[in-house]
Amino acid sequence: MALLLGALILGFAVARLNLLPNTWSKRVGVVGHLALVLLLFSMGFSLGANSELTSALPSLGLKALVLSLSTILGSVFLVWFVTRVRRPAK
Amino acid sequence: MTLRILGSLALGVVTGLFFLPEGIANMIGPLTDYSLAILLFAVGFDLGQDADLRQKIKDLPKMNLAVPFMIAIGSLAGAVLGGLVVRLPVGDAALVGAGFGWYSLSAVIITQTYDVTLGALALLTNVFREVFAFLLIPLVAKRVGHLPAIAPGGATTMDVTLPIIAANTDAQTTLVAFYSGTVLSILVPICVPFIIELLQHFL
Repeated sequence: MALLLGALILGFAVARLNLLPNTWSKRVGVVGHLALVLLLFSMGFSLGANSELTSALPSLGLKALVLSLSTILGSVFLVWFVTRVRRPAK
Repeated sequence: MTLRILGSLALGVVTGLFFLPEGIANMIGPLTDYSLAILLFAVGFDLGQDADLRQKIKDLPKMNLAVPFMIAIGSLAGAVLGGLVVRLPVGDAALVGAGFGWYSLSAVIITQTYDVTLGALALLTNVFREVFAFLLIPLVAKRVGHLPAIAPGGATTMDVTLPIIAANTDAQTTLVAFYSGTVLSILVPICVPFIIELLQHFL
């Protein structure tokens, strides 16, 4: 947790204080993208190797699928519904 | 980008399922942590490069402070509705929804203090929510709007799904997403035990 928050703040500070040469800003994006691919791989690995998860999948998978989609839809709908009223006309 | 995300996730799942050399399994935890740290560094760097960030924060409507609470209420309502479809009691469904995508924490609390099967369902549901968030955030950002694109990630928008939001929306939305994920992460260990308490007293 501290590592993650620290990384976010460090990234912010490095950009603010211009600690990296200008030509590096693109590279940070590329490295970030690579890290994302690695993260997804390692997340997938942890999920695939989690026997608790894979053993629950056959019996509870369908229920979980419905519930996960309905929670997402419910939250997207409410945020859309409440914020749609005020579109700042700049 | 969505294809690459899906591809590397699928590759990871297959590797985790079928190949389990001890050496790799031990490296996965640090790999997750460090790749996440690098990602968040990149997000922070992007925000830091934004010259008029201060003004953008000032321009944010105060209503954005309510976004995590809308996500919480919408998630609970959505879970209850989904529970009707799969014939899950209202309280149990709300409990599963109250994980807000933070699967490890909500599943542990539910398993230890309420019900093992429901804990497993909460684990799966919230894992699915996080995976779907990766796929749906770009879509919602494009078709519905930037603020609604924060919703699928739930509690995970303070770390894991923050880079996806940053890539598909703007600096202001990224800040709101970080704030929202933080609030929801604080709400999970409050809401889950609270709903369990209600269930045990009234049902």
